[in-house]
Amino acid sequence: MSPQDDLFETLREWQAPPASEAAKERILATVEEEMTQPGFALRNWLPLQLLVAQVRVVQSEIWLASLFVMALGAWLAISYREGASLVLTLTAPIIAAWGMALLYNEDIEQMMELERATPVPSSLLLLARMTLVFSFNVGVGTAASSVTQAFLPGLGVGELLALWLTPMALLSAGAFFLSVLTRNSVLGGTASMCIWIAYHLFQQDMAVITLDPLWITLAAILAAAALIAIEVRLAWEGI
Amino acid sequence: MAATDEQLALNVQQGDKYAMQQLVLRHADRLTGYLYRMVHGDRALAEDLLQETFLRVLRGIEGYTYPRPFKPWLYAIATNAARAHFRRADTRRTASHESFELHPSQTANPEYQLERSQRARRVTQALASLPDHQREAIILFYYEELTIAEIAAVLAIPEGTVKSRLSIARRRLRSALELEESTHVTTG
Repeated sequence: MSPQDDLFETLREWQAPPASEAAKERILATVEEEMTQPGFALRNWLPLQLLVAQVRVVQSEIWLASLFVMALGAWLAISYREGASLVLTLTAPIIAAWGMALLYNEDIEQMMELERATPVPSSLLLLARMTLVFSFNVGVGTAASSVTQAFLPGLGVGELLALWLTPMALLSAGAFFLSVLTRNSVLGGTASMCIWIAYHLFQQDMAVITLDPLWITLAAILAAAALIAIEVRLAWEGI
Repeated sequence: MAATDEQLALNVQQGDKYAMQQLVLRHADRLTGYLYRMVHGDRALAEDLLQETFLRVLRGIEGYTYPRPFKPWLYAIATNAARAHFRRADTRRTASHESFELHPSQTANPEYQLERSQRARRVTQALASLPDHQREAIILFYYEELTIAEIAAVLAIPEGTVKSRLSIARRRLRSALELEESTHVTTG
């Protein structure tokens, strides 16, 4: 197919004007002004742009569900003082894992088809999306822990954070990994939830939450990082 | 040797104002033509969208990855600016009267002017009869002379889809132009 066919000459009957000198001068002035603004460099910082852009892409249900469940967890923890740490330790990683699992579904996949044609690699978009949701969950979890601690002074915030933060990272990465691999968000979320609940059910003393080294040491963080790296690689290959 | 678009874009990323000016001056005329046809011959609107396009380029310059071809990236931004305008304004997409204006070089002979104006009107109306996605492909292919691969990059669609859109649009255009021709003959 070549533009030099029979339609070419016919279509060329409709001539378009060039840009007027006034328009060019206006654009050059606007561009000059824009580039001299102090915030120009920061506004064009790619990571920030990516994060802002991805806020619109992530389903609103994920934000709302995180807020709701964390608030419920904090309320239950305060109401049932004995099991305060259990409630937050159970809920925070699960809701985070579900949020991460739901990040990857068929709609997102179609959208990423389009985004693959944009200058930003899809793996970077995926990382931005994960960072956003995980940061949000950490923020909400920290707020819930702080509120709980305010009502239950005997419980340290640091102690509460330690109980759920690392499991949250590992379960979230695992849930997301499964949903990318199987293209099934429900499977990713359910599997992570089952693992976490089963782990607690098989603990000998439910009243005292203790975590095995698997959940709290560097090994867990490294495992989460490895899973995320594989996910990004899978997304890059368009699995 | 003059810097390539891609090198200039790289310099803009580092805050080089001169490089941005070069990109504006290099592409303003062609891009105005593209936007002018995209908005059915409204020159003032085309120039507004031209400004918006370059502002978007500037604000999104960090999203450009060297040495990816700059031109399709630029046209993708211009296309999105035009689409966003239509979405915002819910504009009636009719051909502007200005579309049949002629340039000074073409106005010497009144008969030539009239004939040329009528031919331009037929083309404009035929193009306006196409769905937006087909019209975009036709304008990029015939007026901007972009390759299939470049059009695919601009419209973020596979090359096969570009070919099929062009093929259907060409059939429709031929039909529309023949219809206009016959109407012109019978009513004239």
